[in-house]
Amino acid sequence: MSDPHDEALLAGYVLGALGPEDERAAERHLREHLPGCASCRATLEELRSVAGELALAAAPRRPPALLLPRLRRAVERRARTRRLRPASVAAGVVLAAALGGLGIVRGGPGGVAEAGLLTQLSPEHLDQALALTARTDAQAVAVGPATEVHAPGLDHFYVFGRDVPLPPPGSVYRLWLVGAAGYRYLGEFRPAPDGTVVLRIEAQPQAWDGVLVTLEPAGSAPSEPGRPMWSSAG
Amino acid sequence: MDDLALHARVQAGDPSALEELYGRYAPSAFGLALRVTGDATLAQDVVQDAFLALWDRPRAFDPDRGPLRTWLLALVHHRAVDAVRREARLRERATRAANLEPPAVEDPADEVVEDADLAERRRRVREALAGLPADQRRVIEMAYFDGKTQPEIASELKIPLGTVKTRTFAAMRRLRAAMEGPARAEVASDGRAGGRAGGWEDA
Repeated sequence: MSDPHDEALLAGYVLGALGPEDERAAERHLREHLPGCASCRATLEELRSVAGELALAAAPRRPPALLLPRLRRAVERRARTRRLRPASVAAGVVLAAALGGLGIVRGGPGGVAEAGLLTQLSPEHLDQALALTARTDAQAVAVGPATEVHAPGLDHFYVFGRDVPLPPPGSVYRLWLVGAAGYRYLGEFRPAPDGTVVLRIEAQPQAWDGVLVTLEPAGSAPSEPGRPMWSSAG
Repeated sequence: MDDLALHARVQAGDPSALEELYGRYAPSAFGLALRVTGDATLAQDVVQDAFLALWDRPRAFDPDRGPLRTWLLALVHHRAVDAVRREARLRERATRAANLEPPAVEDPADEVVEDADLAERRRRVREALAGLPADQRRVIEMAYFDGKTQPEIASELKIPLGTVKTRTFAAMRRLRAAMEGPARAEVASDGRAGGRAGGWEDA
């Protein structure tokens, strides 16, 4: 129960087989114990790699011939919106020009941040984001120097980083959701003096292509994304 | 072309790279999804979803944390278990017990030709599973291939939950030891050997 190095709990966790009560215990364990325990972190990685190999114990089966054309059609449907997004938005104006030229609606429902969608947490809450990272089903995507992490079934996700440069004086970072239909403004954030950023976003990441960080003059109206800095929208 | 190069092309938006990865891993993915869901229609949805997830968010895969194959199949497994649990809420699945074991006779038309590395890994993990004591193998199969939670396993096998947990951990430890020996050379070729910290000391 109070075993500080609960390896059996981790074994059930990597298999995705814990009951609801243990699932909560595991998440607490990952949040409170793992960051400070190298031995448990190593155990978790080992267990994960064993769980990964188990996939190969199932006999391979040729999928029905119709599945590939089906996948191809789904990819083609997405290709149109995908082409609107250059691979790297670090190139700055390219993105704005491409979207502007194609008449994409910007700002989503108004250019005004909806209250409560974005919460900037203090650096000591970094463990919340790290705990989510430790989930087997979590997905982490780079957002420049920061990381976006989300997991299926959650109605929120995190963007966090340790070495995010401070914006130049007179400028602010703004965070936007990027979707096929345009952007939704989430709000401004500022890294702590040591560069730590912990942002919690109340949105289902599956409904969006990713997030975009822009650098904009402080006090300007956030009617549409300004200079793109980093994005997770691939 | 190796998986990482194909992944880079997927990231650049090249659909032919996704198709090449599909050609490589769809049989593993479909076999796994079929084994977990026991339903060809659900399994197809799961496989399509997983490849679309790779297409939509290629950067969700982090090469530092292991091979693309492992990541992709973990995604397939997770989605298959989700699908099973959703289905389980709708209907009883007593007949699924038959799916615990892979079909003894496979349609020769379904036979899949794989590269030697994959086939060797498959052989090794199957041997490792077969080498487990029966009670340990059972909890692993029920958890991983049948998508059951530990409380469900405990009640089905009429054993205490604590026993399920300790058996699961003992089984995972044995599997790792069994796959470890001959796997070393290959692990090294993944560039991950150096990171192996001995986190499994006996208490």
